[in-house]
Amino acid sequence: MVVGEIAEAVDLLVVGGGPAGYAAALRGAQRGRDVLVVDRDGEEGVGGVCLRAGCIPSKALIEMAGVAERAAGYSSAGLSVGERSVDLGAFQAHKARIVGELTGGVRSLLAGAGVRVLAGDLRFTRPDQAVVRTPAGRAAFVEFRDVVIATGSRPAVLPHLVPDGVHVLDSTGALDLAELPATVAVVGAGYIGVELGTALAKLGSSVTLVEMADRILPEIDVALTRPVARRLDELGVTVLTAARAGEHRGTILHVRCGDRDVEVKADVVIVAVGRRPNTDELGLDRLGVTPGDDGLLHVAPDRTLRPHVAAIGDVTPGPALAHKGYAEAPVAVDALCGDRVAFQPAAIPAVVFADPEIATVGLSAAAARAEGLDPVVTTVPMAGNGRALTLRAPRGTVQLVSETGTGLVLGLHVVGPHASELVAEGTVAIEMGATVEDLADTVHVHPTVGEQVQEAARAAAGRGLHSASPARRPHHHLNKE
Amino acid sequence: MSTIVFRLPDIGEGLAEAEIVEWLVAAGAEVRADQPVVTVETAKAQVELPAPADGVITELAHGPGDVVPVGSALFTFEATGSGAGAVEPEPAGEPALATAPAVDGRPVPVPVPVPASAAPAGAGRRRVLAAPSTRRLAVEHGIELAELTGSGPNGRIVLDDVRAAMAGGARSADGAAARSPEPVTAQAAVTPAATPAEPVAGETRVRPLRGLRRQVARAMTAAWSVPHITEFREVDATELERAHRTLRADAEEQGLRLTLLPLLVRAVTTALRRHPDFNATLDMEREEVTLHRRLDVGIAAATPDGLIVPVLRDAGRRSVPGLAREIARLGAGARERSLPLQDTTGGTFTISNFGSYGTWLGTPLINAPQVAIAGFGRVRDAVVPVDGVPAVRRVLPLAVAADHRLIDGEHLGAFVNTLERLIRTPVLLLGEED
Repeated sequence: MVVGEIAEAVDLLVVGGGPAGYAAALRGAQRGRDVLVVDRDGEEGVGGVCLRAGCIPSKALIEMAGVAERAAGYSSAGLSVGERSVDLGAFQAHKARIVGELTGGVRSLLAGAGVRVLAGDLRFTRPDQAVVRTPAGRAAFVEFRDVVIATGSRPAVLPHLVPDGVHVLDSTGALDLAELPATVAVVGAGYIGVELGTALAKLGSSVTLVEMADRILPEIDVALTRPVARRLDELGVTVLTAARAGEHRGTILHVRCGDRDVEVKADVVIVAVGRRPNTDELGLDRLGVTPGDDGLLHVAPDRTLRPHVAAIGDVTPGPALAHKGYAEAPVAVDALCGDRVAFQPAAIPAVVFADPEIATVGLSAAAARAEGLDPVVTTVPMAGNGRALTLRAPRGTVQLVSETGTGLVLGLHVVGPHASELVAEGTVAIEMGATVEDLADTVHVHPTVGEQVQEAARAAAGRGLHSASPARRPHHHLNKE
Repeated sequence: MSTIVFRLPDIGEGLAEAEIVEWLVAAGAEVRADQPVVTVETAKAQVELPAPADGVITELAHGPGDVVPVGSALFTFEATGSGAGAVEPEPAGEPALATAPAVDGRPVPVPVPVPASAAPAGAGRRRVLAAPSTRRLAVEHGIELAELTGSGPNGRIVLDDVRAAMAGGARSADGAAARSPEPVTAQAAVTPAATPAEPVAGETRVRPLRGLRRQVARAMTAAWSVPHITEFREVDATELERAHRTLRADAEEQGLRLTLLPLLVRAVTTALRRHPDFNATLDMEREEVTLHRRLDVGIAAATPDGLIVPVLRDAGRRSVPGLAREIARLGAGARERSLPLQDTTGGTFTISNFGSYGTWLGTPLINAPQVAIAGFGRVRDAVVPVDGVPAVRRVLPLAVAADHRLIDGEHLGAFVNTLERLIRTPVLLLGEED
């Protein structure tokens, strides 16, 4: 790396080392390209938000919280475990080991592929050049042939609740807590807020969720979120809906709830009100690229913005999910290599690691109708499932949306244990154009919660073994527990 | 307000597809009825398609360079006025999109899973059924799944369907193959058209065969299946040139520029009258030969985009100045790509005037389903024996190719003999009967 005015020639430049970026770098190396990854945190940044401060650490916390809570629940079954006590300092070390193993793995993959990683903030200066401000404060210039923009997103900030790392935290800060706060207010009951709130509540914090909309997880069908809302209630989480968070003074968060003011006790406030794409400080205008009003880069089907420039991951439209970035990466790189490709999944699944888990893929009944289709919805409760009972988690449902007449699988929506794994079956079914008959006739392992997917398919095919025949309308009543 | 999906109309006989050249308006633009919206290019011509009524363009279904089959959606349109003629209203599909990030610090809902690509152009239709591997193959080969009929369950398109379409793509432009280079998934926003990487010196580059070049390629593939026999001559053109000079001076007084070509056309039409087998088309599927009464002579014209063959209708009935005027009109139209279909279809014989590029002799390829073609090289000085003595004469190289399925060497020789006699002694052209 030449430092100074002389630009180093780079064949394929990848900006950002998160899931989308590192996957693009590996693909580029596979294609025989000479790849340079520039990440704000360099080698340390590889893995991005997802591995270092998002998906993976949050799962570590959620899993530990779940174990604590479930172990306590077995007292009636004759299991007694000691008094629950949580040392989040030790958890941080545990989390660091997991994260270190994963990011180390990615780093060695990159190194093995001959991908170089450079630390620094990158700004484009010309359609084919960029300057990287290294942590040492020096400027390095790169001249690239092709570039993949994969700079990801950052937590959105509320102006009156700016994270200070102590009393007000964003999701990253929340996962770095070394001490369990006695009282927590989580602003925003989207998937991040619900996941963190649930975990902290299970570990022993007194949690309040503050949500602007009239219910938690407002983007998800209410039939799917109801079991989660009920569970939060059981865990003693206070949920304030139609509520706006105001100032945080001392240990009090002021909340405007409808037409009244509520004082929420909160040693710590976690702000989880969405994410914004990192497209504002890259000098994209110099590159000849303009984000939309939403800050997103509206790419073509092959993920390019113009010749030699592609963008993937959270900076592009669609769900801001790591697996979307992973899937876009090879498409973008192949396009830059001159191939004719397109990112065109039939469906992108999404998961909320709440309790119970929610996983959804494809169309809801309403969305199917909006597309002019005639959907059939079959809903099978988890309650009758043997494996769910042995997991002591017999709540939730499997909802299968299929097309009248053809039986084509249009959507699969699962609430319950291991929903995050079950949804893959629905994704494959949608991608392959499978029908409910196909799912019904596929042998599923017994005993697993996945059998409920087969059962829903059987019901849709008019031959439910343990369940009713299809309802012509989605019925939102849940099993009596 | 009604939503209209504007589909590519059938803009000419026997053309199954057109290529989007340029969008003249952006999505979101307000347009007036009859305002041009898009320029499309068929094998034969460029055409501007107008808005069907006053309204707003809501979605452009394809990008520049896409090849779209007749009947497929070009753009979606919210009509504000009346005048929607031959278009069908359809419910507009609204692709759900994940929420935008927070603005002004307002909390934002989390992104929701949405089908990454809504059904293209209009709801009420399922997404095309095809496995990811099938989609990938289709994209690689520029095949639009929406235009295929799937042979799998529920019309699912399987790999073999795409492979069959790929094989069909090599057929001549008989409407059998209608392909688009980019399956355009419905994106809420107008995205820049995906462009192939610019060429870099010394770099291998893959470029789709598109537009006129593709049409030419298909036509040549068809031509190559014809068993050619070709005969070459160098004909004494001294008299022809003399006649040409005389006629040219006369025409210039009438304000007309006269090249040698109209005289060559006249020689060809005269020869065709005497050898009607050469003014024919051959249909091997039906095993039928059509001998044409009219002499519709195509003149191959080079354009920057490729070869176009405009047709001199009823060339046998036109005077030499009349031929000159018509050749000038067709040539200009060919260069501008503005010729209507009737000027570029239905020839019965073709002339390739490759002498205009300085070529001496070449092997012209028959413009199937025609059965013969005459190619003329550049007239040059040559030493030839005249009465046993070397003399320098003006010599015209010519090559005539014929379809050996219909025409034998003997017949070809007779035709070329006639042509030679008419060129050598152009006064014979005055004795031509109608």
